[in-house]
Amino acid sequence: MLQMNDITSGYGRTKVLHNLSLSIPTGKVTAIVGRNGSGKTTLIRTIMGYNKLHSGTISIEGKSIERQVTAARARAGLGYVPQGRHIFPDLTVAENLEMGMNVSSDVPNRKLLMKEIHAMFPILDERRRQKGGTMSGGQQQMVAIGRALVGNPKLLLLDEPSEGIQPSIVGEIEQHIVRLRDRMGLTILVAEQDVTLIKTVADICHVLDMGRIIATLKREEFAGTDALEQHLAL
Amino acid sequence: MRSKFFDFITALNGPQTVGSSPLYWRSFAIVCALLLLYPIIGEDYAVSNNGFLMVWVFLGLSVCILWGYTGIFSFGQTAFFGLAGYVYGVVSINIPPEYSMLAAVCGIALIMLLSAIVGYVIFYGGISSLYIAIFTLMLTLLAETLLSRTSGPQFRIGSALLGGSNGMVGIPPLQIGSGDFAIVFVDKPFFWLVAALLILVFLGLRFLLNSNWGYLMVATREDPLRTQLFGYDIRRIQLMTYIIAGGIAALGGVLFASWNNFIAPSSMGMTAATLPIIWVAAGGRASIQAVTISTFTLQWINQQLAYGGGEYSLMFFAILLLCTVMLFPQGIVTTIEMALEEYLERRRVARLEKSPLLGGRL
Amino acid sequence: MFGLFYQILATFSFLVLSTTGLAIIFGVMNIINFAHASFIMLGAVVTVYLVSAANLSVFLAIPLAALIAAAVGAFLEMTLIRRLYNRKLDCLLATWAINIIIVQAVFLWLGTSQPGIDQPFGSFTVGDAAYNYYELFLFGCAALVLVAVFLLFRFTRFGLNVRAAMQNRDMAEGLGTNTTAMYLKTFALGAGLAGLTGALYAPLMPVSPYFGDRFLWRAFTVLIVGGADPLIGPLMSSVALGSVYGGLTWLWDSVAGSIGILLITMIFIRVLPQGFTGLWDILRAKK
Repeated sequence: MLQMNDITSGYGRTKVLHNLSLSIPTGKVTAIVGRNGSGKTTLIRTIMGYNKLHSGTISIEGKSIERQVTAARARAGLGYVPQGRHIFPDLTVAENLEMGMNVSSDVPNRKLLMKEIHAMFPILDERRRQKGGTMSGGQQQMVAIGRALVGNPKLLLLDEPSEGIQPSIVGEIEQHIVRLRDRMGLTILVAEQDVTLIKTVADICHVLDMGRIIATLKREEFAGTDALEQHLAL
Repeated sequence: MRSKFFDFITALNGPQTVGSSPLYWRSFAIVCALLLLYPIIGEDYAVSNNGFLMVWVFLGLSVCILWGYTGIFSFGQTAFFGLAGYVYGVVSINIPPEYSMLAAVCGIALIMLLSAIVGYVIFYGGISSLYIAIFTLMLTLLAETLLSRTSGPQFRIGSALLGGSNGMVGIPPLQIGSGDFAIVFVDKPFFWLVAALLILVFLGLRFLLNSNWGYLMVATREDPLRTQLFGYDIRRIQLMTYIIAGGIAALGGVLFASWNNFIAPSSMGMTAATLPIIWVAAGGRASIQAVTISTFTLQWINQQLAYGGGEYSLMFFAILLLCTVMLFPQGIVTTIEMALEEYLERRRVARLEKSPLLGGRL
Repeated sequence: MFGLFYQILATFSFLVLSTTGLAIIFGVMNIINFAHASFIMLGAVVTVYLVSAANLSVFLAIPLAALIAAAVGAFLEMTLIRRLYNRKLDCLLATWAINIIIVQAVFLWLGTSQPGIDQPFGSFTVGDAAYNYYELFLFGCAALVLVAVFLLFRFTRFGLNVRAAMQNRDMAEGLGTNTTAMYLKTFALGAGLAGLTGALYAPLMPVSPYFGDRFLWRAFTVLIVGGADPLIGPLMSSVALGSVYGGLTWLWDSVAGSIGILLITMIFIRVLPQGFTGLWDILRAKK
């Protein structure tokens, strides 16, 4: 689905990612795990276009996007749920969702999609008139994911979805991620520090350290073991 | 004695100002010498005119140390310039000419007091930086509006008629001594006075900017919060700098009124407030040297354009400002200075590489 | 008494029309557009030429002039302004320079005074003073502008995008909103409203290259006293300052009114820097 080749990027002249290559398979949950500062968020921001590439290419389904601006990449099929959720605080839930529709004006099965989304996150209908800024972290996460889904993305990017959210809600989020993959066949990339979440949802996990991928493990290698924790302790 | 001299030079050098090598100071000394010798060979009219052009540099420096060094964008310096001229005018008209220096001191002191009050309102009132620009602009407009309404014989202080929008006339020039032993500062003596004062102020600013106080000014510009967290009261830093800048502008205003024998509200109008911004932006806001050069040059150009039919001068300056903002955000003179430094540095490195001490061949 | 009411109404219209374009640009892009004065002037100049030279009806000339001003604004945004969004002070200086350039260009090309045009409606008397119907028309226009801006921001997709981008531009981009095009349209809208103002006031005042100046600094005062909201700001601030100016002008003269506005603005900067918008936010939060 998404192919990144030989990516070097960062902030200004500081390089964070070094010659990184990554392939995200369709219909699976790919995880990027690493400590603080390893470059997880930078990776996602680079895919979205917030961080300019020093070198390398990115393509979705074969079409290269590294020259496109962020808005164009979103329209090419990237659904973005940033670290910290970034709900528009003064817009209502309904308006936040509407913003998600900017991505494409014709989504073939819009009504069906909306039904699915509302079924998955009933809160979106219950609190449609509530201002985004007044909601709790977990509620905002639902709105942020719903907002990204409304555009019928090809690839959903989740940056640290469990950050700042109480543990019971994190469990719900894990369920949602699995359901999105299984019922909607969505391709998902999750960047996380929370290893438990990764072990629950991920099919493939890449370990990131200092801007490089130091290990790639398949589900059978890390589920039920502490292989991931060991790689992170390095 | 020699070491005291070197200490003195060291105090004048630092990262806040351009040029610190012995070559620089030799050139500086030569320029100063030429400046002081010029009136001897120049003809009266040109000397007088050039002296007048140098007066504007005080206004430019005033804006520069606030904007470039402390991060305070103030439109108000023009008002202080003009008001100082008015105070000087009022006092000097009312007292015998041999005491005109007293009038000058009054002008400067009163304006410094005014800038203290205004600065207090601004900095201790927590007005944010963009609003400072607008607030000071409005103050300047207010001063101009109020003074324009003072036409009519009832608007007088002592024997000084304020004159409304036509301004105050009959302001005597600065003078020391009386009768036959008086030095009246016009033409060549005026030039020497301005040149001497300018050199003094310039060196004084170099000393200030490269001292601890200078570091605080730049720190306040760069990151006010962090400076505060280090325990410095940035309001005091800003206020003190504001008062100093007010004093320098006032000095310029007094000299202006003395040379012109006249001061009017138009010296504080929108156009008058625009020009110092252009001098500083075009020169290089963070360099007193760049501002000195650009102010003199641009005011000279302004004069030349005025002779040719002044309609194009405003357009010229506006285009200059636009080009500066879009193409030379550091300022034109500063960009040239930086290019020059880079060139000299490369030559120095190239010469070092050829030195046998470092294994090269001559 | 009617005189006072009329004066306040007239001032309110003047302030709303002067400011809304400026306030929209400031509220959305957070920049101060000094070229606002030149857009107003262009609107007035184009109108008087369309009416006197091309013999157009004034009611046709006014919207055309507004469109031309919008086009000029769009051109400037594309070439210059958009590079300066992150450099607020430089943007202020650049727009100031542009203002002078446009004004001087008109001055050099067309001279100082421009043809005058007449007011389309007549006058009426109350007591022993004469008043213009045109001022009432202008009040209607001001009210219309406010309603239109409200509808635009609340009920259109463009308005939604703008409000979202005001809160978080990066996130709006991440959801596929082309904020660059949006800023272009917003700037053009602000310029167009300024041009409309100039066009509307052309029949009332002598038109010269410096036409925009008297609008500009008053618009700034309204902007500061009003705060960042493009609707609440001009509305509440125009009411307040309009009353002050109208009252002082009626009591003494227009210079007293101007001084009054300047003083109140300076007080607001010091005491209530967020303006009426800030006050409104506080009141809403308390509910």
